[in-house]
Amino acid sequence: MKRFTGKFFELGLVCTLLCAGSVWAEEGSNLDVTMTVQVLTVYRFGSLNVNAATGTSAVSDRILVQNTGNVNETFVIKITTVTGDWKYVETQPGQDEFRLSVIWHKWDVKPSTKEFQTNDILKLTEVVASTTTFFNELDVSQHYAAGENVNQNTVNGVNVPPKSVDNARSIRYLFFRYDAPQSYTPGKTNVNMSYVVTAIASE
Amino acid sequence: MRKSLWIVLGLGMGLSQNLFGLSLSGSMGELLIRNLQPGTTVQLTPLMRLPWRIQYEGKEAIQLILRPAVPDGVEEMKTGYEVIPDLSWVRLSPALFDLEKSSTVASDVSISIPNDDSLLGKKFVVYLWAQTAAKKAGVSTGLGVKGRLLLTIAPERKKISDSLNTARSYMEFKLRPETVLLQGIQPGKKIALNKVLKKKFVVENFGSETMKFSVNRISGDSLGMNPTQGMEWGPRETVCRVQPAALKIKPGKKKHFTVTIQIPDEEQNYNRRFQYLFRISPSGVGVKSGILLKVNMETSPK
Repeated sequence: MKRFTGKFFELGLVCTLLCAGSVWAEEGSNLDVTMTVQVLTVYRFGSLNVNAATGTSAVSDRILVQNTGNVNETFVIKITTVTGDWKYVETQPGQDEFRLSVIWHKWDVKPSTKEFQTNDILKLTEVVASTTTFFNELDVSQHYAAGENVNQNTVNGVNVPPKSVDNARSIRYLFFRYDAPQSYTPGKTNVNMSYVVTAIASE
Repeated sequence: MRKSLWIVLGLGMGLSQNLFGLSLSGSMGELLIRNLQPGTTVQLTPLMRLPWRIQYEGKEAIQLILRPAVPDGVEEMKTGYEVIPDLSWVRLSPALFDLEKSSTVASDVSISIPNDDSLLGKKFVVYLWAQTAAKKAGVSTGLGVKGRLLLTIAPERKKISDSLNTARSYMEFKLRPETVLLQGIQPGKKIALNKVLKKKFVVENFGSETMKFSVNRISGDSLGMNPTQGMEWGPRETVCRVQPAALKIKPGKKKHFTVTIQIPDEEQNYNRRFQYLFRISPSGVGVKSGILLKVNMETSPK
């Protein structure tokens, strides 16, 4: 009788566990594929248009970049191609050379050329946004939304929340500083350039 | 005296870009592939209907370029993983698309592990990078998405001569939401997550077969994962209930499940940030697969 009762108890316990769904997933040695982040999505509005006299610099209008995915994303920026009459440089431009720097910034204030630092220069290799790269950490007064703590990183390209969680903070703004050539070769001012803003999962 | 020349950067295409936005979306934000065997090739599409899907939305004609890429800088590395030694281990087919308008494309991801026992037990990270390239001249702002592949080689050799040929799983489903955060949680109290969040966990079968799915709590350590930065794995003694734990979903349909969590009422569990994982797994043969649900809970101070 005791053995019989024990069996019923065990059967009841197994049924309870299965129905309630509190069992742990089994481990094993078979091939195992788990999607830990499903989708990354990035949206941008606006384009790079900026004017500057030779030997001078100017800041562009803003470009909007938004995390329209489902998880926090960090944005990386890279120049992918430069062709034409000018050469892209990461130093002070000379004749027929130009340079770009970029920072994430508060949307309603165009940064001055002085806000761009050495680590904001756009490179031909990929650079991941950080709390200092593509961000003027020395000028925090301009880098938070109204009503927020100055230490809140709500404008840089790092760990940006998705639109579905926080629409306002999912939007970030890029501003470019364009350093024009020191001088130019007459008749040679054609430039084709592309750069890419890429989203990666922050986790 | 030479006059200064006002140089305009961004003519032509730049003006037209001002009118429209562009969007790029990629599946496989992060994919963890474990127990790979040296000397084998895994093709995700025939194995488990898991192509890399890229969705482009925009009015511009573009080229979409797909390629594997090594992590760029320490920010793209993953704790415990090495940079993949050779990008030729990963192949994408097709890898180039010419798109005239908004489109969704799919590419098969193939991973070939060299027949080398020195790889046993090792872990590698590689990225799948999709980026747009303008077809017109001028200055263009492209978009990209970089999905992360975390490859774990099995700790020991296993005879798999026939198993991969017959292995099958099914990944034509999605989970919403995939990450949730609950704050001010009191240990000892039974928390019905969906009531607090005011949303259900929904599994959608977008494939062509009726499929059975199971929902189980899974240990992050068993997957070789670390918790999200700032979080720690929740106590093993936490009581988690999933209702229902088994779902049978027809093609094109959705079903939902609910989760209840009760964190043990112990002093060390107050004022903490815990993460719990649940895996939604389809029925499969010879291979396991699934999508993770991450539940983040911040407990209140005592």
